[in-house]
Order: sequence, then structure tokens, then C-alpha cells
Amino acid sequence: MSTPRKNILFVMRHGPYGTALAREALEAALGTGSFGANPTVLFMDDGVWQLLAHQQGAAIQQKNHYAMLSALPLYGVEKLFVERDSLDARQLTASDLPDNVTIIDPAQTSRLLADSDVILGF
Amino acid sequence: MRPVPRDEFDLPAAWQTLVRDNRINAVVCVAAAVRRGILDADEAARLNIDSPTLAPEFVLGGLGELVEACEQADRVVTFGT
Repeated sequence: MSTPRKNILFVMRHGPYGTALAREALEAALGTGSFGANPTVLFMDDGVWQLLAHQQGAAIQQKNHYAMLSALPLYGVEKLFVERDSLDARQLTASDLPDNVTIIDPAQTSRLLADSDVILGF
Repeated sequence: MRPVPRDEFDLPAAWQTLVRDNRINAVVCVAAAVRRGILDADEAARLNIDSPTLAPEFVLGGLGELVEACEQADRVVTFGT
């Protein structure tokens, strides 16, 4: 009998550009997914900005973060959540987000954090 | 490895001492390190750079090691963000 795998959660709290955090967190999430760990990703605070389409990273000589983020399901990372209060504070709504991300309220966010065995914050 | 002024706390040296004295398996993410110019001997050779910059007590590792470490550890503690 194999050991059940741990619940790994990536918490994305920074915007897509300006620091390496979003990019390197995304690379880590993709890599972790490719190893079959089935991680969960939570976007909150400025991390919600990563979810907007039509990013023009080329304008600042950066790769388009959204393009890479869209690859998450291809690497087995399908549990994608965004924290509702972070959206509200930035006047973003469900229509600004990709279809495969689920909006959760603060109580659900607390439960997600409590249920995670490993939390990697970026 | 980097020079530290004499009147400042030598953080790299402190890390090396901690790792060496406690025989800690100190793994550095290869992707994050190489893009910042932190290279072990193999990476330096691969990139035709004369000198490695990674301190001797550390090894470069990939995301597979992160996954395995998360799976095997009793507890994962992160600092910074």
C-alpha cells in the first residue's frame, strides 16, 4: 500500500512582474505538478493580478506570465483558487478571471490552509 | 560565496558553519541559482565560466527534491513570504 501523498498548497501573494516571486512560484508549481504531487494553488492579495489575461510583459522585456500560468492544468495542477476579499479590494470580479479558477470566501480559505499539509508561500 | 565587509555579520560563513557542523543536506534550487549566477563547478563548466560561485557545503538540486522533501518531512517551515 502506498503512502497517501501530502496536500501541498502554493500561496501566490505577489503580482506577476516587479519581483521574481510570481514567476518562480509558478515554475515550482508546474514542476511539482509534473511530479504528480497534485498541488493546490491559492491566489490572494496582489497575487490575484497574475490571473488577468492580456498581459503585455514584452513592454518591460518580461515573458507573458499569464501564458505560462495557463499551462498549469497541462502539468496536473487543476485545483486553483482565488480569495474573494482580495478580488473585492482590487475591484476585480469573476469576469476578469479564467474559467478554471474558483473564488472562495475567507472561511473557505481558512479551511484550505488548515487542510494543507505543506504551505509554500510566495 | 561573496565578500562580506569585516564589520558586518558574515551570513554566508554562518550558513556554511551551520551546514557543515550539523551535516545538513543543504540543497539550492538549480533554476533560481543559475539565473542569479550562483553556479557549482558543473554549471560553471557547462556555461564556460571560469569559477563556480556556490559555496562548497551546498548542492544544486531540482524541483523533484522539493517534492520529495515535502513528502518526507514531518514539518515544512518557510521564511520570507
